[in-house]
Amino acid sequence: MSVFNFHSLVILLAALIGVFLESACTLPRDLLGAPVHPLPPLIIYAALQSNLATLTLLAILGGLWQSALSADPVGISMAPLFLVGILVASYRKHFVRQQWFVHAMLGAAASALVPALVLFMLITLGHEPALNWFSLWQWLVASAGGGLITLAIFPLLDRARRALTHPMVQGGYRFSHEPASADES
Amino acid sequence: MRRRSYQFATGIVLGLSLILLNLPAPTAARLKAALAHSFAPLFGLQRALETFSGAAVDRTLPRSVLLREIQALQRTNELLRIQTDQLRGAGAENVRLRSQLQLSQRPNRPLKLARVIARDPQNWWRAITIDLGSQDGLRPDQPVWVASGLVGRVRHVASRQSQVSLVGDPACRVSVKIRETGEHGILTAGPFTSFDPKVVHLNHLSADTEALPEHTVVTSGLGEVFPADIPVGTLLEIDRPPGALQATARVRLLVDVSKLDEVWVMSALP
Repeated sequence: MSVFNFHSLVILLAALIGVFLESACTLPRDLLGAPVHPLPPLIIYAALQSNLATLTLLAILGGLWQSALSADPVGISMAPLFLVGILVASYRKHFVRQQWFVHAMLGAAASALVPALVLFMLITLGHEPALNWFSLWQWLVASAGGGLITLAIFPLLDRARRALTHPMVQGGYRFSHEPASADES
Repeated sequence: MRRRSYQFATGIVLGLSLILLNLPAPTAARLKAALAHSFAPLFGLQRALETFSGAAVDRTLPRSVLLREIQALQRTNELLRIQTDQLRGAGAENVRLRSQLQLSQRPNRPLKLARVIARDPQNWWRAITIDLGSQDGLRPDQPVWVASGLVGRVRHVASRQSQVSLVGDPACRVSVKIRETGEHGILTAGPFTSFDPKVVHLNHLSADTEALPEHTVVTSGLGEVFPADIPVGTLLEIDRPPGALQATARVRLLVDVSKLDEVWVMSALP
């Protein structure tokens, strides 16, 4: 099985579109006072349903794309995204991966943890982010919204994977003129 | 095996993060501009959709509404022409008096209209992205405003888009004065105790300030980034700690940045 497949490409494309919508679509910001970040839910999806190469690429490209539209230093969210992703991927066997409740909880936790880590890094590096009490509300909205987005992302990307990848045939493929093997017949 | 690959991937990401975070500011700005090109097709699609939906709305508008709108605009235009003619006389007088007093003339810089195409995805920065870039003659530090007041200044410029730091962002400090008293101060990001993102801090007021709530805050013209007398906000309250040499104030900004669709960018000083 190849390390980087079409499904990985779909996840990266979803990240690009998600970062764009986060900046260009002002509806959640106008309604709730805060945007909802798509990258932490996508990282959770990649950690549970994809491979390490995709997870790494998503953290790198997602972090770079996000900083392209933000006043953040270039690539500051790469490491927090990756650390959250690798943590979930390390323990993926312990999660009930088909349960929607688990997806929502992991999405909400990742959406709370990633901004907190980015903020910690910003302050450590000597930047002065504009924080006030309203930031707490925005953090809560981002966490809850992240949980909801994770719920939507899993069925959507799973469906895309099923649509774009051909199911593996048990015993491998054979041409029509080839005789069937004994165990198949 | 799995553990090794995890360690390898972690090393790559952390190493890359360290390199990127230590890039010199001009290189980081160029990298950001290059990365912003990834979104060019999506911004193009957004523009096409807006144009299409705008055209659809235009077709459904009744002719009577449009005629009423044209009449109202014609009246406003006429009124503004009369006011401009009156101000032109005062302007010529001002130029004559300045030259007699040997004062430098106020620069008359042209304005360019820009569309707001994106907002900063992070909550802790106040920034927007506009659809004009270096190809349109934009440069860093050009002031950005709308009719109701100051918006901010251009921070990063890509070829076809630019990032604008809004007033209240830590990267956009503005030298201001209180119109009624003439006292100067510096506008900075809002205080941590605030729950309203439209409230910012005014520092470096003198302790015996005569400023009062509801006084208007305008740009001072110091610092050569913002021209003088652009409205910025109104004073909410003044904090005069006993024994302190300086007072601080809370200012409510005039421009609601969440409702910005178009802004004006002033070209740079020659």
